[in-house]
Amino acid sequence: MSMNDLNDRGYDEETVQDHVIGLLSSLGLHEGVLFDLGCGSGPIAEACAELGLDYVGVDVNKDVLEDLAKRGFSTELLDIADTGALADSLEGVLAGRQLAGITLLDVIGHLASPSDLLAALADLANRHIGVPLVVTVSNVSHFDLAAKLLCGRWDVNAGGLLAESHLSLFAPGTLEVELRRAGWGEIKADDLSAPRSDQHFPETLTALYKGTPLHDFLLEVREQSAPAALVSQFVRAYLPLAPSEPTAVALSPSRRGAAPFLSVVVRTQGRRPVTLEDNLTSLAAQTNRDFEVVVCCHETSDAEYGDVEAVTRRLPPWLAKKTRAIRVEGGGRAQPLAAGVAEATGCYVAFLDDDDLAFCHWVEQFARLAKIRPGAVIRAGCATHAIDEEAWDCGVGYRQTGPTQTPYPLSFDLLDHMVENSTPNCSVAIPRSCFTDLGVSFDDNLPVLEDWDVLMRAALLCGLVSTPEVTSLYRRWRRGYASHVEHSEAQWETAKQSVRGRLDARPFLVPPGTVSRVVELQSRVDSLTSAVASLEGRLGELQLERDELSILLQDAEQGLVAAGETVTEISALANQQVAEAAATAEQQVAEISAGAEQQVSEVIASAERRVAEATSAVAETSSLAERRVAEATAMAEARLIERRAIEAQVDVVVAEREAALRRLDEVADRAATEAAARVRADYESSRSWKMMAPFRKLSWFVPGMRGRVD
Amino acid sequence: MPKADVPRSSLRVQTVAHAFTRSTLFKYAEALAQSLYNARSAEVIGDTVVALGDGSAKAGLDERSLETLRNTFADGGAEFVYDRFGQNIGHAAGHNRLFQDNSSELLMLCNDDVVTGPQAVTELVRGLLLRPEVGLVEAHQLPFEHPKQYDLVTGETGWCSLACALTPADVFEKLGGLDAEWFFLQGDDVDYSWRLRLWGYKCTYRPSARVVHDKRVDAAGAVLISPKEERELAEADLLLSRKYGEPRRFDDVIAWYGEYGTDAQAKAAAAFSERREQGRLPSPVPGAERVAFFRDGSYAVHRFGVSFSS
Repeated sequence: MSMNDLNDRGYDEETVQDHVIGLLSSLGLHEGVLFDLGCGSGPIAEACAELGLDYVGVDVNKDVLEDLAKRGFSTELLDIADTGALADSLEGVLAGRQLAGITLLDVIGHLASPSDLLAALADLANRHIGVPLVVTVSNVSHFDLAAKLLCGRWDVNAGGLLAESHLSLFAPGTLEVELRRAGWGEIKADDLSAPRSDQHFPETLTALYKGTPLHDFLLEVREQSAPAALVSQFVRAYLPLAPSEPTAVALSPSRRGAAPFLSVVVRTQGRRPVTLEDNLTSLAAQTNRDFEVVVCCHETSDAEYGDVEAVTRRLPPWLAKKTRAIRVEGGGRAQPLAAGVAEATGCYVAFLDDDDLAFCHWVEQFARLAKIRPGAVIRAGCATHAIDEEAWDCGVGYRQTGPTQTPYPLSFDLLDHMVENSTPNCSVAIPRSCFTDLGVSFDDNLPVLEDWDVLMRAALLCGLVSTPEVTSLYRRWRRGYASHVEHSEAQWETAKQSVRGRLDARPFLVPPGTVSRVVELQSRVDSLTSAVASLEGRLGELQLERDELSILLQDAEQGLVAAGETVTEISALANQQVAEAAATAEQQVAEISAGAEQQVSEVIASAERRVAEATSAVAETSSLAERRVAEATAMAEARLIERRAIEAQVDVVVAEREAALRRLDEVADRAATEAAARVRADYESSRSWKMMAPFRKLSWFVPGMRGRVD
Repeated sequence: MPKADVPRSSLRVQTVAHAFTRSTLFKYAEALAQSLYNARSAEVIGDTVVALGDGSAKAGLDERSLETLRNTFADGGAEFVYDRFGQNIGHAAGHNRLFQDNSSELLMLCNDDVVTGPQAVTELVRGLLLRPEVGLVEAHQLPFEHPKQYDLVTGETGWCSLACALTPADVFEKLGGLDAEWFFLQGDDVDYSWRLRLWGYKCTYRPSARVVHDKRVDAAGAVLISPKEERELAEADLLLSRKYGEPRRFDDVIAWYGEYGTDAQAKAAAAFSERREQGRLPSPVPGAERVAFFRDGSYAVHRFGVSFSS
């Protein structure tokens, strides 16, 4: 049985033919000989002829060759497993003709060691110029096989992905290794996809059912992990490698030798060499040196890149050796991170922006946790403080302007993180396998929050271990460039919705404890719901009260309206009455006024008459008075004259009286003198003092007598 | 490399260590050596000696470690000397002892838990020599900058930390070095700064000379210190209060520590009460009021708060 007999019984070979012919055509093969090695029934023979190629079927099976010959095609009976003389034999078949290409359709999977055959063909191809080799082979990394293996199934068939005759199994990586080792370099691929392969059985296997969470989750993991998840047949074209090209496939960085524990990807735009130098100095101060540094210079000018290189050159030698700067062009904030991951060789990858700082135990704590939970995302505490740009006499730099704080939660809550990110990028380390084997990558379509997106995807796949130990410092600029001011609120919101949307669109694994957390949250929701119901009940009561009050208010308003109308009516009536009363009053006033005026006139007239009478009387009285005054005055004057005459008479009388008195005094004095003389004479005559007594008393009453006696 | 704007000077770097590991020491040495190399390339330093005073009670560094250190500093163009004290004689006394062998023009004091930035030495030298009135210049510490206020143009500040600082050797000698009679591990920097200012020199801060000082924070962002360190800080505060404060201040601090302080502060207060009774206290410094500053446990105006946790 030829190898292609098996292929003939396989799945949908026509489609494989189409891909092979399409590939040959796209390579521009339209003339010369095409060797179809292990050709079997030669299913591509006619199509090759249509391209203009001289098809030569080569096989070890005479029967199939006879059939081909009957169809008019050249054949060659050769055992291609005899690789020692294969190149020369085929060269002989060519007989000087141009060799256009070689095909190996579903052949190498049936060989225990295909490398000899491939090397012999490379030898042949190298004798000519630009001879391509087209290979088809089954893909054992097809999702169907992966899903079945997870369920413990390995179903070998007569043909198909797991043909019983397969001696070599190929996945994308192994195919590349095999071909390259034999001297072939891939130039083109047109693989055949089969969402439902021949291994898509039994139908009852849940993992194979599209739409089940298990299927969808596994398929996503498989698709993110490596290409060709749904490829059933690789259809690849190769050319011989140039002598200078390496025949070994570039090994993944982690397989190059002693990979460091950690790759530190430092993102910079080269515009802050001062903070970059501090950042790298903080790495120089690490207590654990099992790391490398990849400085990703994003969109830097030559001068800025020169500054970065100058900074790295000034580092301590041990760190300078571990540090390399790469330039990254194009893209957004995610681009340099993705480039750094591609460059990384460590088991874990951590990220720092050029203004972040690592505490001295940053790497040490990551390494400690990696031992506790290998393969998990690692998260540590993060502090923050504000800094501000500053210009000194010694250059441009920055200074701290606020206290150091720890605003981010010190433990990781997956559900909280589904709402928003509270983990600065500098505080996590992600297994590099997440990126290389599970297809997690930084999404450059996100203008911001690219780190949140990666953190969540990685944490959901790998789990997360955290420590409250604060090991990094995220510094916030008060002025100048910073992502939180460079992008608008709308961009932040859009990015947030985008990240959440992606999380929501896929099934994922949740870590142990999630159910408890959900129960706790549900309990809180229940509690809040109960509180809300209580409040709603109270609200209902209040609404009832409000309704009642509304009715009362309505009644009151109606009453008010009615009262208003009454008031209006009363007002109108009152106005009317007032108007009537006013009219009446006015009339009465007019009448009264008229009567009053008359009375007033009469009174005035009367008064005037009386005034006139009084005036006349006054005049008469005055005249009379004047006359009387004149008479009185005259009388008084006459009396005055009389008085003056009387006074003159009195003066005369007084004067006469005084004269009389003077004469009387003179008479008395003389009488006294005469009496004294007579007394003395009597005394002298009587000589008795007793007789003198009446005289002594008398002397008091007789002028001129006093003192004379004493 | 631009031509140096200061004369090339000989330099002595002194480090007093008493509780170190080999890896810590090598880390310090490699960074310092590189910074010295860069300063030499910038033509700001010439002959350089790095002196390590080993105050650990252990056997000291073995010959292999010493050879590694010698080679490391040789790569930076510096001679390495090692002085094993045999015991922890303190920071101030250790530096004074190391300084006895000095023949350099400039003296850099640097902790062993400091990792100097690539340009730290160059910038410290420039900060010192560009202005003749400067007697002490201090580096910018990472990850936390010291909160002291400083003049944004001149860098002048109230005092300098000696975790990584540079002073002219003749000034250090003129001031009699650090006050080892009273200060052990803490406070000698404030004391040296204030004495220096009393002599008319300036203390300055050099933001472009950046170093990492290995400090950690707790979950609340408070800087972690050991209980021993907390007590030493309290004792230093009492000594400074006594030397530079108003007479009542010393009594007030003792009373406050005793009544409201932490255990470490209360112990310090008790010890100093006893010392006061025994008359074992330093004398007040004449003219101290011209340089001293006390407020809320700090010795300069701070531009933001820092809390400590032990």
